[in-house]
Amino acid sequence: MSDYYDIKKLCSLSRIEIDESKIQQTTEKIKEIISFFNKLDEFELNEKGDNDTYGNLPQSIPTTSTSDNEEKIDNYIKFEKKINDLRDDSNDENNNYTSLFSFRFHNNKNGYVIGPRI
Amino acid sequence: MSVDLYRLPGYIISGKIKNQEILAEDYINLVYDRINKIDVKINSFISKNYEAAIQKAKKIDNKIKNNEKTGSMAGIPIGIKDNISVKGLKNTCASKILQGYESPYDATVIDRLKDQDAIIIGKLNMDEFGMGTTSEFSFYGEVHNPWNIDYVAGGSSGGSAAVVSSLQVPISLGSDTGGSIRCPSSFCSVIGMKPTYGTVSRFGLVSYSNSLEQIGPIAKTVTDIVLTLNAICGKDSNDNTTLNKQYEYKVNKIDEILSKNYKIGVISNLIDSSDKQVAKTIFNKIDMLKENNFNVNDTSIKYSDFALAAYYIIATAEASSNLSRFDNIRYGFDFNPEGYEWNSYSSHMRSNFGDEVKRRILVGSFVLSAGYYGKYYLKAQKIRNILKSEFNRLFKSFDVLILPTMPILPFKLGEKGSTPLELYNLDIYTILANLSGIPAISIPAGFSKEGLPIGLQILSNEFNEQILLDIAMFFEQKDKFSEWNPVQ
Repeated sequence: MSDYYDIKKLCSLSRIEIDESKIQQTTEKIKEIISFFNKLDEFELNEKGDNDTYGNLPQSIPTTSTSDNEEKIDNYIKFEKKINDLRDDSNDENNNYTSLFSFRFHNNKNGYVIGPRI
Repeated sequence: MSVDLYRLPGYIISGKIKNQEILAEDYINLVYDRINKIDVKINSFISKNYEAAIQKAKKIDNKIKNNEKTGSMAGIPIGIKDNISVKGLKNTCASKILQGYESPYDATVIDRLKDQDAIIIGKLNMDEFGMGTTSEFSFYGEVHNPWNIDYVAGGSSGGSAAVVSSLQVPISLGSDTGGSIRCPSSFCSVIGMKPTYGTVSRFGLVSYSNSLEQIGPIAKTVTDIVLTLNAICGKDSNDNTTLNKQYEYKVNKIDEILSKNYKIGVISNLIDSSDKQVAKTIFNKIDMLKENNFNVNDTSIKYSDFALAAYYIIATAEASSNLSRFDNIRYGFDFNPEGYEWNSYSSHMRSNFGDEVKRRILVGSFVLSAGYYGKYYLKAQKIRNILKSEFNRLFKSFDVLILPTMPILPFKLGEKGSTPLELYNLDIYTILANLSGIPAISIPAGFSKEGLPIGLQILSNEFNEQILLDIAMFFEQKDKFSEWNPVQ
């Protein structure tokens, strides 16, 4: 890391456009930050006795769900609410959103919101 | 009605409203008059909530008139950092990319403040998405320090600290990812607190780095901090990182605080490496503790040299993931996508992020990329774990640890930031609490010979916020720092 092509690659991965005139400046600043991160190379981890699993489930917890172990997984990972219950605004399946779209979105045509090509 | 009411802390105002000495509606009008007069110089507000605030004030007045029960914060105006969702108000995160976004729901902290009859006054300026140490990286212009408007207010919750310091509102909410509450509190001479991770719900806070950030209060008095913490803390079923604990913080009297014989550790290696005026002020505070028979001893913290690099690796990695949702499809502003291909449309829209945000996203993508994950991200997580162990070791010997909030004095707008590291290095004392999840508070400690504020930072072990509040209360009583106000 890092030259012009590395930064262009990172921009592509991050879906960010950077003006050509700013690429050089951005490259230098990112190089400076990464060099700072390389300070961690001076740190000897093994001496400090770090035994954390960092996100790996304990071996006693099954990683694939079967009818026998679902309860074991549920007991380990507890979520009080389903994702769809987090917000109090509701999704009305029967609603016709055409009027809402025309009100909220300026870029629409024939009752449809215009989106980028896929 | 006396125009000096704006000088009073929130808890006194609430008492006057409840006792019918003043009407909440009159007081809120006075607050907006003050904001309209002062904020042209400070630039702490991004949006205001005048009509809804007046409606709420009228409701509170009616409740009191009818002898109905009111909340613990009845009539207290509160400013909210612009990355915390308030239903019906813009939630821009000080970014161009969210300039038209209006939140469809309230964050849990806002629900809880409203339940206690607090009044939401408006949304406050900040560094874009919380990424900065000066509040200069805002699409809405930089925040000015009320003590000298040519100087930075600190960041990223610069608007939240400046608005309290300049006596526009008595209390505000900020968010703290690496010192974003404490840094501006230090630079603006107010109290700012980052609670233990998991104490306050983050539901409704626009995420920058989930594993590091917490919402917390900023005020001029410890009593207002306690009042706000008691309102916002607690388990939230919408945020699975909140803990099921009972929180009831108190404002203890000074005799009671002194009788607890708190053991205080002075992190002398970090104080010594600060600006001379900062170090001198902090040592004066330590002398004050010794004179009052606190058990004070020197100590040092290991691994702090590595902590800053570990912090920025984790923060940028989480930011690159969290900010991927801002593609102008799910959130964004009006822009005709006709003729754009999907990926080029997203990239083009995301170029509306500010330079610092773009830089952090790119760095985050780099440290998470295949081949570098073990070298950077995994190692940073391990250092984070070791730092937590180091704090556990220190808190076996001490109840609290003392160090400066910021290593240097506030500086002039535009003076720093030519290189990113120049600003990143300023976070060296504040990121320790975020990496280890412990609570921390910044309180006013004094001023430099140029009249620039200096902050004292106090750290305690997780869920020991009461000790922080006790030590802060000791200094508030001794120094009377709540009466330190900038000349308007």
